[in-house]
Amino acid sequence: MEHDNIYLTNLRDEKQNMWTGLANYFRKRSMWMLYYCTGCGAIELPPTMTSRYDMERLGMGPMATPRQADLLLITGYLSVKTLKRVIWSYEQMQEPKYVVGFGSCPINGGIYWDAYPVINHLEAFMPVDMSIAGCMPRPQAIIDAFEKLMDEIQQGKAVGYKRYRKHYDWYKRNQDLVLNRQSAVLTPYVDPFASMPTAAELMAQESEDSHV
Amino acid sequence: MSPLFLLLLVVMPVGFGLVSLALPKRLSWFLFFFVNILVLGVVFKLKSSTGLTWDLKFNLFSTGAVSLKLAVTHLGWFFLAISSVATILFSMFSLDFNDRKHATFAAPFWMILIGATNGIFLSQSWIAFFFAWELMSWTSLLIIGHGKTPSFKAGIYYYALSFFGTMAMMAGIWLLYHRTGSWDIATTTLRIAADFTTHRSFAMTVTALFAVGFLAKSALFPFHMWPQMAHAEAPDDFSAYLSGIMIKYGIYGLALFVIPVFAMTPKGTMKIISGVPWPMYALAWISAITSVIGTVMAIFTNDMKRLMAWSTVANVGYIGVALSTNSSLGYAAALFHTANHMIFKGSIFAALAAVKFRTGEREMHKLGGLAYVMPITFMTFLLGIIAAAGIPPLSGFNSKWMIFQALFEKKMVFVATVIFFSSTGAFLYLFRALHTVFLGQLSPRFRHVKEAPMLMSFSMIILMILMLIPGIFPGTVTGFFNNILASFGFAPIKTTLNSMTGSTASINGTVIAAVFGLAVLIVFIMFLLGARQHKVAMMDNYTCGEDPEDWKVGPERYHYGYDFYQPIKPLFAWMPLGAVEKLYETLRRSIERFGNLVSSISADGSRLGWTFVIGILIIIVTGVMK
Amino acid sequence: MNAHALTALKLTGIAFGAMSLGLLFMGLGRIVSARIQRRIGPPFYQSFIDVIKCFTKTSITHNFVMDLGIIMALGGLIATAFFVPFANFSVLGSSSVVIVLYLMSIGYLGMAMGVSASGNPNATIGISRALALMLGYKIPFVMVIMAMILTYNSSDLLTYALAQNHGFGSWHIFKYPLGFIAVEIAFQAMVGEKPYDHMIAPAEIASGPMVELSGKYLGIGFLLHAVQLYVETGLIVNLFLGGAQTWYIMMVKMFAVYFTTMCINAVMARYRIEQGIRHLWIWAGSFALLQLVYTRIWG
Repeated sequence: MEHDNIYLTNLRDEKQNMWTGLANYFRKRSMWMLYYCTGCGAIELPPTMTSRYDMERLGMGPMATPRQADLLLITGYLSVKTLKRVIWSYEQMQEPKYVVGFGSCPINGGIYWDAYPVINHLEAFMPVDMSIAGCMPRPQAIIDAFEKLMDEIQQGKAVGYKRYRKHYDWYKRNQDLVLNRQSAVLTPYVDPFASMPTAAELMAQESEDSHV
Repeated sequence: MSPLFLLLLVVMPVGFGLVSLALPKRLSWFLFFFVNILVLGVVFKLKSSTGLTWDLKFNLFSTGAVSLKLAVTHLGWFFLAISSVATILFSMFSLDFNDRKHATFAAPFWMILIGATNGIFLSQSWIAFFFAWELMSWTSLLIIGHGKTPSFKAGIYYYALSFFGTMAMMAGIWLLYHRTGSWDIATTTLRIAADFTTHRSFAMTVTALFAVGFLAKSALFPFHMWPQMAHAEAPDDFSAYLSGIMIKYGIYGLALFVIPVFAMTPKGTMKIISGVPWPMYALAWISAITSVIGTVMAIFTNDMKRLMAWSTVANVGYIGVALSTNSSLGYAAALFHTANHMIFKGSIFAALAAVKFRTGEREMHKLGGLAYVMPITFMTFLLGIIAAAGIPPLSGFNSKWMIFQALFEKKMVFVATVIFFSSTGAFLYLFRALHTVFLGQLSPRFRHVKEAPMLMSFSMIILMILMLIPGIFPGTVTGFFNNILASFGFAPIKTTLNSMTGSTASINGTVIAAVFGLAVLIVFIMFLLGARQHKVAMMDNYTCGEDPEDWKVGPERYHYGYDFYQPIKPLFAWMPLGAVEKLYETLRRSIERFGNLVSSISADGSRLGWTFVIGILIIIVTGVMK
Repeated sequence: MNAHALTALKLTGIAFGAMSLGLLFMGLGRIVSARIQRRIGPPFYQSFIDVIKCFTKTSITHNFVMDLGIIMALGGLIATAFFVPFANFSVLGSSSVVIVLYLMSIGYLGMAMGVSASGNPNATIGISRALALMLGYKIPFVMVIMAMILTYNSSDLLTYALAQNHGFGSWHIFKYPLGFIAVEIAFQAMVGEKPYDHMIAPAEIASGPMVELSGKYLGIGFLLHAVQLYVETGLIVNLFLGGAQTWYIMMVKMFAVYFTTMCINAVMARYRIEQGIRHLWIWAGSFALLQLVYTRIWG
């Protein structure tokens, strides 16, 4: 299973000028997050938010709805049922928007890698700007990741939302494969992504029109 | 100017009305509009001919000279002018409203009613006043009960209360004539004011009888029940007239007779509470209670026309409070609010009629989202509720501000607190109506609803302008007041085109409007500077990630409208709001029992005949005994 | 430059001043909350960053009523801010408290209209709660103001402020102690902080009115709160805390009012809706009524 193939690397050629640089400064200093408590990772967030690690120092804070949020946190494993809601919420968020995957599960399925109701690669369904490995990542790691994300935002590298817009067809097909699955779930596993265009093809296409 | 113009104002609409009884429905509505143009023209021709009098004296049954005197007074002309301006807009509205599908046969009666209204505002003798009053009661009953059973019931309810008031007033008129030997309103006012020193209880009885008549007509406590039935069940276009103009007859009566009597009463004859004679103080509390009842009932009402009827009750309460301060400021405030209420409640009812015209629904929770398909109607309603809530820079604010100034002047702070409660409560029910009818989700049933027809929209646009002008330039209305105040012996108020001076401050409507405009401009520029926005579908909402379709939730179920203020219902549970209604119900039952008794005397069929026979017997017996 | 243009320029300055001051307060308020919870908290300029970020984001709108409402909301509140005297100074000369009370309503009405047009029931539920709460806090507040009107026979805020300029002892907080308590309780509800945050209730109705606001709409929502803070703290300073002769004293006093609010906010839980209103009527209402009766009879 060549799952590596399906990842799309970040688009890193955004043109930075003074205005986008300035805007990015404000964006990185004020990240409002929508923490989607899909799984176990949610338990690591309260210590990150409260007095021990105090995320508000960085200008971050929880928000109630996707309309208001900049940052979608996928905390832990993501089941197929939840995936639909996550995508719905992600599409309701306003640009620029960022996604952070928590723990191993959104990266490669983690301990649920062979569980039929859990998806293995979040990358295939929505652009992930930052992944935090670990099961579960500790608050230090979370803060660390946020700081790294802030750097990427400042440098104009965290542009996953643009990727989503550009390759929407690809993401949409991946989503449909899982969400509209017709075959029985306990039949032998067939990699649904085998027939997809590979990332290399997409990247090649991407370099043709480098302006996003 | 010939005095016959005065007679024309009364006779012409009545005559046209009688003629149009024979005409087809649609034609009679055109005639109705035409009559209103004529009336408006005559009224504005009479502008500078105050004091013009038409009098007819004759001897009836040798009881003395009966005079039917019509005259233009400052007060009467002001009421005539605002009512004819409002009426012409309503009639323009009705012209489109009564299309083939919706036409009612109300036009002839409405014309007669306009004649009666002009008669009330022109009468200077009690006989003429009473005739006009009775004509008005009868015709309005016929219009309210426009051939539908619930409407007819509502009409009967309205008429029963109104009849009670009329009887009280008639008794008052007879007592007045008995004492003074004159039918003339101005003369009797002076006499009765003087009587307060010599014949206190007599004067008090007469004034109270008149007051009951006027309170019943204006739906002040304890007669506050009828508008919610009558306004709700009347033809939709007529509701605007009913709520805008007809509810003001009682106010006119109070302003014409009761208030001047107390203003002219020599000082020291009555106990003074808070700077006003005690009956006036009682009137203040009656009005305040009325406004609270109207407000609380409106908050929990689901029928949109009924809600606005309760709102009318609340507004009449404000006017009553303003009148009760017995000062020039209060009197002016009452007139100002009367004029403003006429326009803003008229436009609210017009907008609701347009909604009903297009959708056929009256229950608010079944509607929703109509602002997106009927923008002009929505704007009319919006400006109407802004004015009704008393928010600057619209007309309602200026008059409410004046009411508060009048209350502050007399240091009636507790009444003012109660009024402020209803004024705040007004936000609750007005916003509820705005949201439930015009905002929120648009039901698929009404997706193809069109804007109101052209004449309706046009008259609504004019109504909007008429709400804006007195808000920005209060002097356009307040300028008329000093003559009226002078004619009743009140001191003039200080007012210019843009500003008004009250007891504790002065405001400038133009400055407020300009400042608001500037602030909106600043925000608009900021809005434009922000990043681009894009439009999404109405059902694309935050739903905790769920797709409403999965739960079979469509726009109708997703619209928050039913039982809007459910959480605060327990707060008002202690209020005995239904007490008066229960009392009336008991009364009705005992009358019914009496009726059954009478009808049980007659075995069958000939009920009516027996009643007549008994009645005639009683009359003969009393005659013989005498 | 003619006089009107100069006034307009001054008013524009006040508009941005009010927004900035409110945002500064919001930032400081967040630090206060953070310190009470033993956190460090964001920098004091955090709210400025938030609002500017909001304006750089794309946003959604459901229909024209939403745009109209949101512009009307901030416009109405800024117009109100023009009428609140700042350090004994009011560009417009007159500043009747009745105008302030009613003009503020156009802001709320605009907000209510804009968010209701989004069609989200959460927003409307939030608005219905806010309006119901308004019934709770406006009455005590107005009763206290009427007590002042009785004393001074004037409804001008500037008159009240100037009357308190004779040292610490002349502050209304000593002249109307019961009224001050009532207004403080009502103020907590006016700015919608706990225990009266029914309107926002993030965990319950998803931040209520703001549920569908995104990008610049949310930014305007924040500015709305900022201007609201400016207007309401300004009202209380002018009514009770002696007004101010200089601009920095004014700012310190205004912040002191907000500071108290934030301290209460940090340690309280939320009432239920009818509990909240009942609490306001019973406590704030009775204090205000006592004050009014006292002033009416002996004042």
